Amino acid sequence: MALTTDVQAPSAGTTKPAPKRRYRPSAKYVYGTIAVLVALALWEIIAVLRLRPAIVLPGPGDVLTAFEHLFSTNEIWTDLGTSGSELLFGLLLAAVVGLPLGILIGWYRRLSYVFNPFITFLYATPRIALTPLLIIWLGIGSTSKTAIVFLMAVFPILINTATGMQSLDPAIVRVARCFGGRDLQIFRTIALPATVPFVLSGLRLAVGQALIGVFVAELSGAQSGVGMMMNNAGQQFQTSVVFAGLFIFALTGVLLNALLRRVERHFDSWRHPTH
Amino acid sequence: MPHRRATGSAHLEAAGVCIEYRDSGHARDPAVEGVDLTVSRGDFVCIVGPSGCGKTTFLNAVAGFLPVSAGSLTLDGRDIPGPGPDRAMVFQHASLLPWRTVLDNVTYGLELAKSMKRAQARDRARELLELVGLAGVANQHPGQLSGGMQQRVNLARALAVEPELLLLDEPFASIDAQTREVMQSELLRICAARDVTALFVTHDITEAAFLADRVCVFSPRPGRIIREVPIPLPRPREQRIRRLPEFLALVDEISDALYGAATPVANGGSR
Repeated sequence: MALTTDVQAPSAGTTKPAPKRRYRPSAKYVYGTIAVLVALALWEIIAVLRLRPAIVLPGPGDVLTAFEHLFSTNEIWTDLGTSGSELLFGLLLAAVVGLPLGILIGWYRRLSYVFNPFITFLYATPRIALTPLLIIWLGIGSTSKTAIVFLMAVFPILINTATGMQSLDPAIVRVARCFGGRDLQIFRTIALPATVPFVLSGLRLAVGQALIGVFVAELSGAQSGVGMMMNNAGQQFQTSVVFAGLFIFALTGVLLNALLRRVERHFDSWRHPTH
Repeated sequence: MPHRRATGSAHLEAAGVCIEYRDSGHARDPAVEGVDLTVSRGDFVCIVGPSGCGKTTFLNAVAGFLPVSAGSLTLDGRDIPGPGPDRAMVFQHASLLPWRTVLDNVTYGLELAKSMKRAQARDRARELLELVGLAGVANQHPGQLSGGMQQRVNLARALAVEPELLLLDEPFASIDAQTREVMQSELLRICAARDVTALFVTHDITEAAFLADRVCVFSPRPGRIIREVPIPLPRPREQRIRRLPEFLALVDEISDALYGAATPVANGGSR
């Protein structure tokens, strides 16, 4: 906890937020954008020089053309729909199961003793390796894919939530006890708010894991999906289409992460007093 | 403020109090042994003692966190069953809820006790923030405050429940020396304004002498009171009394009792 000695007038609530500075894009964005543009340019140059044939290394232009191609047919929408719903339902299910379970495991020590062996086992195994089993059990359709996404995503959420519940500041709990606070009150006023940041970073981890789940699940047999589309394109050496698929995955991850960061900032504003 | 100016009547009474920690399988390990102490309403009593002497243990027992293994410890004649809203504790670390604003931190104890409506609680909290000189930062978060300010919020939070007995466990130990002196004066001012009965644990002799009506010196573990030094200095006390010969004599008396006890040839006879 940083100790600042001088305290300014509370900025929240006052209408004028300090003298307005002229709009200047922050250094972060300037440098970031320049770096990306330079990387794209280098990529294009290497591709244009044709050190390697386009079938091995397409340039950004080729990828753009591939995008155009992809989106001129209806197939891509089916693929996006399939992968999107696998991702969404898998993630939702992971949150719906992982959050309450994590809270319970974190709050009731005995429950954590019961569940820990299973969690440790499943967390230690590469869950992707369960794909064949899940396909045997749930078939080749999107149910097995959603199950894999769920398995990938549930653990970061569950473990982070439980960790948050277990790492309460004992001094704060003692204060609450001192005021005669009951378990349920401590749960509501201390445990839940203190766990929110843990939950959110768990969700962000889960997004990354879920995307891996979508891709790998679709590799082992699927009727549609962006991962399957990439796999097929790869087998036909449509390298630029593979790149296009890659960017779809990357963009999804970036967008979901940005969304969660926004939520995080909302709940976490007390951590960043300078904002 | 409710009128409870019944100064003089015994509020907290400890008679032959023993507190021991029992580890499974281990022998008894007394932390406090045979403590006799009476705190009357309106009293400000300080406990000083070498570190590890059990002074904090004793305070925890008064707060209701620890059971007494022998002797009696009563508040207004009744045993202490556990923590309760009639006592509030101020710890060395402010331990504020970092996600709540300063104002909502001050109302926290009232919220747990469910003793009043939210709007009422907030009114009282504002009043207390005024008292501790923090009215301007009510809507900030604790992370934006200095250590001294956080400790003021902590104090306001404790006072908000209008405790009959305020328990302070080295509240200023982690504050820099200059701020600490300011905080001590502030505490006295606030206690006078609110008619607070206080039991204050510290290892700082000067602090004890400056604050207290009476200073109880604990022996090394197992702790017991080896000397009670009354501090007859008039109130309100200003910083400059620290340089008065009477004050220095009292400090000497306390430290003699304290360090005399720390040497093997203890003079633990009369108390």
